[in-house]
Amino acid sequence: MNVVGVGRGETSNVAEVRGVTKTYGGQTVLDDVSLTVAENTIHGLLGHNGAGKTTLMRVLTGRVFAHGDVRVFGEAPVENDGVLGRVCFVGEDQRYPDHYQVRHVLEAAALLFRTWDAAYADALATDFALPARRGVRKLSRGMRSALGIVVGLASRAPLTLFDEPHLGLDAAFRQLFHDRLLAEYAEHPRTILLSTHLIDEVGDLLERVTVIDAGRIVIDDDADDLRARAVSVSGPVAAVDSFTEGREVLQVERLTSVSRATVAGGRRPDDTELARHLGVELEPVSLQDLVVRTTGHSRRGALR
Amino acid sequence: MPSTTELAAFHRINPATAAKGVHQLVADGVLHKRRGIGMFVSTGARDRLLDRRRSRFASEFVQPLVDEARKLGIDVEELKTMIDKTGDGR
Amino acid sequence: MTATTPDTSTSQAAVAAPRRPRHPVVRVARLQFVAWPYTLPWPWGILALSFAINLVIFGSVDEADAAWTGGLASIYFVQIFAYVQHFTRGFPFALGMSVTRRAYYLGTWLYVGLEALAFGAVLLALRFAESATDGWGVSLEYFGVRFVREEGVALQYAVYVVPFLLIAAVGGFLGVVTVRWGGNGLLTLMAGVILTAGVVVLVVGRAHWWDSVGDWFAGQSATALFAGWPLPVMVVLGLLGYAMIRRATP
Repeated sequence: MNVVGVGRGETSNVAEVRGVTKTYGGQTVLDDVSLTVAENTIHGLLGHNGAGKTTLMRVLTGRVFAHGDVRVFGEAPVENDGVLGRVCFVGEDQRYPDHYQVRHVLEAAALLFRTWDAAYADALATDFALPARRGVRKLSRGMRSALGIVVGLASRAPLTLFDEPHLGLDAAFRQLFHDRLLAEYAEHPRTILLSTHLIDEVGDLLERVTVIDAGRIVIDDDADDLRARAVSVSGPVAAVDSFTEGREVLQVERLTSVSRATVAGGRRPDDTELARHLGVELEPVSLQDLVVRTTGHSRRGALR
Repeated sequence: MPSTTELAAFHRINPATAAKGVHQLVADGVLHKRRGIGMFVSTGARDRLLDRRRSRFASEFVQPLVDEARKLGIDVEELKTMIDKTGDGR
Repeated sequence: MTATTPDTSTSQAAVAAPRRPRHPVVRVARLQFVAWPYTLPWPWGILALSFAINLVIFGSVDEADAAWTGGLASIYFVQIFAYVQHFTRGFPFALGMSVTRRAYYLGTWLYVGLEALAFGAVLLALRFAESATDGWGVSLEYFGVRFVREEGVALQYAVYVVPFLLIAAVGGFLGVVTVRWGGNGLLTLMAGVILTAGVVVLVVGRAHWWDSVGDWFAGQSATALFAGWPLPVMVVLGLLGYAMIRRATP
């Protein structure tokens, strides 16, 4: 395995993408994207719909061809059985043969994934209330997602990618997924890349956060560092401007005489004092807010 | 102390984050590691924590209380009466 | 590559995990057996139905002449759908389960080959039964193919097996075109084929070559028709399909 030391000491990178560009027709879906995915992390790939998350994952798994350098486990993943044998991609548009039932999907998975755990798969299927003999065509959107989750978790693949795994799942099952994911990750560590637009729900699970917007990487950082780094300052416009002077402002929102600024750079020791003095309020910024305030709609000022 | 894995599962957070939290507590002297056995709360940790919070009480709680009261037009005397009343009520 | 899945189950799992073949191509071939009770009965069920109808008709009518009704074609016809769907359905599924295009293509052809051999053997056996019972007691010639009756068993077997393979080559090719270029691609191909066929017919008609063509076909031996010509056609379609599927991104 290649060791390209980046920030995590001796761990290696499971996937590396450099200068990847992908266009469909006239549209650029990925624009000079570079990213590394470190071994044994839960890495979040965040961004709203159409930002390029799915395409990036498909590039990583050799499902689509793109310009640029792509390495997974040190090699190009396209048509590479050695690499793909260690990868499990749970896509939101995964198609199953019409005549398959849930149990056939699990049987196929047992054949195709080297590290498949059948007992674990059965237990998960029960937890997610998936009837073994239900035809895949008769599964609701939520059940299809659940099936994908079962396959992804039970595969024990060293690199597992979940693309929008929450679609159609109610809150209880989403919670179940997160609990099972954490438990599995703790007991059998592996590299997990998780894409979603439900940022707040998965925020605590992530160790690394990459935000994609319109095909470009806008944030790529340690999750905890990110949370610590941004602060929300709100109050009278002049006071907020005063506070943010000399600091990196990620985004500002204004409503008549009140404004709210998202400031990077983290809290400084005398910030509390300064805030009180100026009459502004300081609040932590959730990952969701951070992503929303630095991408797409808010930035462009457009109303959805 | 529960293990990092147990803490992570309980709080539903990434084990790496839980580990960072534990390391921070060790650095602060609240926890210490006994080789081969596990993490334990250090003796005197509770008292130290209480002391720390006491010294910050004024700036973290009292000052904001006074500021908020001032904003609402409640003077210090009124505030003192309120505190007495609330204190008695307990 | 490691061997079979390590047995980590402590409980008696409801679904017994199948043994995992080492080679990816063999794995794909094995994959095509999953859920076989929901796929194999179709061609044989329809064949059985067609046979039953023929049997009833021949049983009720007093026919002195043994006749071949051509009902056997039904099973080949039904198989077209299966072959196409190996690529329009099975291929996207397998890609999503970390299978490479190459492994899927080769593995599926391995399975198709084995299936054709097995199907052919069953049909041949039924043919022998038919001869032994004198046309199932009603002089029905359903499984027997007349013009190879005097030939050796090997050729008779080929007569059953090769059409499966040829139809598979064509069906699979169409399936790959669809997966690679979508419905539009398939229509374009069809248009192209019809156009070419039209031109050929025109040219042949103009040059009054029809008789020569007819003579040539009649002159071909059974061996050539079943063990000769189909092979290059299958190879060409197979190679073209392989080149196409390597760039498919369903």
